[in-house]
Amino acid sequence: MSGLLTFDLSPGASALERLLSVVRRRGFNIDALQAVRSGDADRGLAVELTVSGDRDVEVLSRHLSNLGDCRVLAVQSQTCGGVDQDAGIDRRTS
Amino acid sequence: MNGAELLLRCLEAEGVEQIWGYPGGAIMPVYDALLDSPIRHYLTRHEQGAAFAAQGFARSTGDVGVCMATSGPGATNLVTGIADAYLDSVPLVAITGQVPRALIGTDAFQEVDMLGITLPIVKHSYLVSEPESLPQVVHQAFATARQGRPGPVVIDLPKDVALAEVTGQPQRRQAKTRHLRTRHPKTGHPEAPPSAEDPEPLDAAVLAKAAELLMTSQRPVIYAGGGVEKGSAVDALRSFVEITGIPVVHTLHGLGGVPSEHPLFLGMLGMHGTRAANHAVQECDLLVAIGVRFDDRATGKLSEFAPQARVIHLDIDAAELGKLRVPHAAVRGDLRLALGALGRSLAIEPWRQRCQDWIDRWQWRYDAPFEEVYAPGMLRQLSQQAPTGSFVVCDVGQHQMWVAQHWRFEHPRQHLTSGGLGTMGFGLPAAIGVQIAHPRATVINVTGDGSIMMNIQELATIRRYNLPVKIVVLDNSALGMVRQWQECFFSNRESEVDLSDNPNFADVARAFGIPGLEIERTQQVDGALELLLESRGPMLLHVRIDRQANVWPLVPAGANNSQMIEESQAVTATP
Ligand SMILES: Cc1ncc(C[n+]2csc(CCOP(=O)(O)OP(=O)(O)O)c2C)c(N)n1
Ligand SMILES: [Mg+2]
Repeated sequence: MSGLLTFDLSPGASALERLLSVVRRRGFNIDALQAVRSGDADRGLAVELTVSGDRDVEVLSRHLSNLGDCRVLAVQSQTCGGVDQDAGIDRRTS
Repeated sequence: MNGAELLLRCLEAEGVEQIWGYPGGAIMPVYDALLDSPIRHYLTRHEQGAAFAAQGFARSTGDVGVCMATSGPGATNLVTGIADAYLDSVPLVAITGQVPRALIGTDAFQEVDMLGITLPIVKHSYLVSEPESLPQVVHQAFATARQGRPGPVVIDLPKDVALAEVTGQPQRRQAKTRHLRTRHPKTGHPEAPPSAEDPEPLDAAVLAKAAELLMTSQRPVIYAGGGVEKGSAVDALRSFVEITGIPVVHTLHGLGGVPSEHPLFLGMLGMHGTRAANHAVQECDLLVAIGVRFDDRATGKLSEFAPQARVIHLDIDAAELGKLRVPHAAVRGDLRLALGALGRSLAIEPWRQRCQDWIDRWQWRYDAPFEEVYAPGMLRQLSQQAPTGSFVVCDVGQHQMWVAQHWRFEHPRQHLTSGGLGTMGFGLPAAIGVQIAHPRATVINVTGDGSIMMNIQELATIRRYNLPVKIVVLDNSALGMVRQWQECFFSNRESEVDLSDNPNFADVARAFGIPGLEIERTQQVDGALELLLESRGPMLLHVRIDRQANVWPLVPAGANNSQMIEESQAVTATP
């Protein structure tokens, strides 16, 4: 399962550090990452991130939305059905 | 005014009246400013004690608890308490001193990267880089700690920021949540009505789907957890239960959501849950999951948990919905509103009767004629004799599970326990915070001979502030829970669990100036509990119990919840 996520991050290196630590801990690999200073006056980072893993990218994006310095703009994910025991997630209804 | 003084004014503006902490070099400007502040500081004897005392305050009031430490070792000593608050969604603000800005990143004396260390265990963290940002940082930190799903926030304060001259003002004072709240009629506990705090309306289509699931269910079960109390939804849950008549199981943190004596209460579910609770969940056709996170201690083998059930999951935190079990209806938002919208009467009498039969069949029994103190029976008796509104604050181990199984709970806020992190050493300092928040309440710390030693230095704090905490040490001369697992799952090969060289804890208490009493026979229990509950000040009751006593039933790790084993079936198995 993979997905492309785009975000706006608040200024400061810690915002990116926080984001990446959530991605890692929630069980995803990073396939591609682009972070550029956004055009906004606050000069945070505009981030595009491609991740892959056994878990649902939508759930990852909801974890990331809980971060105080990360605004999730878009999520494109591919998910599949069936009970996925390896990932420790029960998807019987998805 | 310097940064430290401004910090304290900002805390005042957030309604902070007390802080638990321990001083040191980098935080000295704040300790100096404290001398002129109305905020009361309580000195614990270890920073971990400060974090847990602040948690005790927070868990028992619903307000934000504040702890403070110096940089380096002071800060790292807070880390366990912060992680514990994160896993149990406790609103906590931890303030740490930091080396001056110019020295950050130079491996200066007592410099640690507190922001980096705590990144995965906080809702948010701040390294205050400009003195002028203090009002905004403090205001945001408190808002973050208490809003939505509560949690810990770290404010790391460089010493030169604390010493810098500043002109700022605290941001607009927020009315204290606890004063806004209505009181629970029976327990007097705060219970907020739905407010505009969470303006997002509930999704009408999802509610309609959830209502349809309810109406078509023959065998529904409510699985309610700590989110109910965190969302001030205890009253809403109770009304929902009365209206729908659905039987209830609780997680460890949900206990008291419906009172233990409620006829529809089946008990705690999961690893040390009741047979009735686990049976009902495994048999149900609809699981109404309220403020829960499908923790493995509750679900057992996830893919075999409630195997026939459709799921309605209600939670304030969108990230919990579908995290471990994908629900048929995912209701995100204020639990009070959701439960209010979903309440309807259901025709499920045959199912209720089946549940009642299970409750009747698997009642706990306390009539064993033991010479030695039977801990479950003693805890049951203590909870029955303790005055209404008493708090029980546990440590971690077998004694914690016996409390969960046998205590008579009135309200979840009266039961404090480290559930997510399962931190030994939580109990004694947390009880300190509870007692300070509720000076007239009876506060009982039930601890083990292993756990109490993890923060035993806090007896000095209890003595210093003359806090009337009642401490019950269940001494089985062992790290009992680990010993039980070694017995059950490691061929009874005991490895490093023996504590038979324990001190006499009553003597230890007396050395700290706290009265202590020691018992070991059943016939001593009545008198000891009477003395304990009637003592006006603190007291420690050292209870020697059978080393081999185990917690039953038990669902082995990785098994499903219908595979509970009882004492008679205890065989060697793989964990
Ligand atoms: C800080 C910490 N270290 C280790 C553990 C693992 N652990 C869980 S229960 C337990 C034994 C607790 O012993 P005691 O406090 O005497 O309680 P009992 O089980 O004997 O009632 C241990 C070591 C833990 N939960 N927390
Ligand atoms: Mg023990």
